[in-house]
Amino acid sequence: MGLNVKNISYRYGKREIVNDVSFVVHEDEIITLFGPSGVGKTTILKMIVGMLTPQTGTIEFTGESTRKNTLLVFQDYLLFPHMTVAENIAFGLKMRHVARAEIDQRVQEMVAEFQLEGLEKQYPAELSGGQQQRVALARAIILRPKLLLLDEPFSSLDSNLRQQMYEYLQRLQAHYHFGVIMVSHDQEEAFLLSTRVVVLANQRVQQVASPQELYAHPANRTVADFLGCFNYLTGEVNGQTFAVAGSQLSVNNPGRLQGTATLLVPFVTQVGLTTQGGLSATVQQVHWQPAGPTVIFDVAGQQLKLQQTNFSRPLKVGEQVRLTLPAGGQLLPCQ
Amino acid sequence: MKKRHLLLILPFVGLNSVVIIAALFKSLAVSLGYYPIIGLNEVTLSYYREVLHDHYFVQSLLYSLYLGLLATVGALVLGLLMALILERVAGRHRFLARLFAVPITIPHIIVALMIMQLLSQSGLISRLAIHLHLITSIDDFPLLVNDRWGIAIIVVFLYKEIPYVAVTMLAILRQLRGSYTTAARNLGASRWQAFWHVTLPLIQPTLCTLFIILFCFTFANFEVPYILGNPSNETIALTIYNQFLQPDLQSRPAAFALNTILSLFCLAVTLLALLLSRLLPGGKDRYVK
Repeated sequence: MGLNVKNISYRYGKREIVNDVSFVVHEDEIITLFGPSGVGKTTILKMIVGMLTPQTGTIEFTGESTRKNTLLVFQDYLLFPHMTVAENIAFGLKMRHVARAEIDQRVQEMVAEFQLEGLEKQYPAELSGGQQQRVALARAIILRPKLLLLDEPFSSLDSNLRQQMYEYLQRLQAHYHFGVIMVSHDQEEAFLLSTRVVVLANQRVQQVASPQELYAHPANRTVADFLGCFNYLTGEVNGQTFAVAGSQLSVNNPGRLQGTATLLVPFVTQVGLTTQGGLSATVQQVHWQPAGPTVIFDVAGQQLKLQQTNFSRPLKVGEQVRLTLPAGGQLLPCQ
Repeated sequence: MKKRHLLLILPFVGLNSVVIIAALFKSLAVSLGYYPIIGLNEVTLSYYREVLHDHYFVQSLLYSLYLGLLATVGALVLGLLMALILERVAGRHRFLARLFAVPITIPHIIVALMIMQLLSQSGLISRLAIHLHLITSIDDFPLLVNDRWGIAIIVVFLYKEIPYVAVTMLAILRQLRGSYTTAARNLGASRWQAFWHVTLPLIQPTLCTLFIILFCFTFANFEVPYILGNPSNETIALTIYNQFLQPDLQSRPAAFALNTILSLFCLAVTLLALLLSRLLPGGKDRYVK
């Protein structure tokens, strides 16, 4: 079961909403469509469920997945305001003319699963945001979808509730076995939940990769900028060697760049101190943080910010140090 | 409530007290036989009894009810149907929705005159039919104006009220289309199921409000039945008007009694419609935050 999205595009009038987007969803995966607002993430979900028709390209459901068992949970839940919690959950089964007794039994299962006991006769307006979220999920999951589409499902919840809902989603997915395509612009959420992330920018797919891969090797400057967690050090590259501030660093250069290039150094990376070799830097600022100090260095006029550092000794502002960066850093063409 | 708030609502209260409550009080007093100007000082229900036992008055009441209900229900059903059609096509043809709103701006009296020119036996359609040899004389053309069934009156009301209902409902349907209707369709509802289980309950309070506005208007309308009605089939508004035109002031209490009955009838229909709306799915206040 899964989904194969091939080269889909959508325009509204003269405005390009989605351009040549392709990605694949495999069985039991959680895929996040990740990108800034207005990049066409929700439009992609609407095309997948058939609310919009792509002007070019195709959407193929594979295995047990079909459009009928693909359900969308909307960003603002869209619980029917004139129906109780139980009626909302039962809605899809009722529309499928399932027997009353079976509907009642399955609604009770969902009520127990989503911890909605006692709220069955309440109306959506009488529920908290978290409860509404759970009803919206229950209303979809009672129909046993093979593919669940979630449009920024946790954006209106506070951080505590979000954590609970993340666990909920993972538990539900393991129990009911469905693929998930989720829209998010929250990096932490995307990294925490996703099997793979589809990074969208400028109406196009920029990269499809696992969170680890994305963090370690962003495909281009647009992805790196959007992730917003990298230092950019400009230097000269020659083969697998990158020269900056008089230091020679070993880098990953699959694009065989030559001359001036940019080295990506994640804010959170394993950096140590050394007395010989390494990258020469001056400590500019030190800020205490619970997970380890954030230190800002000056590297030959370029800023290098490192978070959650774990140096062998405390650093002082103005101090000259030599840093050991992990080998195989990602290089990008200089902008 | 603060004094400042009381001051702010004073113009509204003042206007209603003077114009509506005072007029109603006067109407009620005269209908109960208290009309000192012609020497009637005793309070009595005899004018109400007289009016309610008079076959002619009851007939005009029933005729008004027939016109009001037929025009209102017709306008609501056809207006909603138009709104549903416009909602589907007006995304591509926005001018259609604007064009459809034009009749709202034309006064009822003008529409009544237009319909008379169009539908009467000597009207445009009749003459066109003769010209096309469909009929041989204007007498062959069916009586649609000043007829006993009030066809022309109903046509005027429908012409005016269908766009009013359609334009009002269109805005709500557009909102629902982008939200709840779409959610229902995504959960497997057919187009009809989504309409019946989701759209209709959510729009029924608005339909109820429109029913009240349109029914009270058409039930008590004066100028349209005056121009296009049948003299032997008067509406209650015309009956009251004729009573007021009587030079004999003794007929005033009965006219005021009819006036009060008309107002109470509208009030009763309003309360009944609100109660019905509340009992139907989508009518409870609980679901509104």
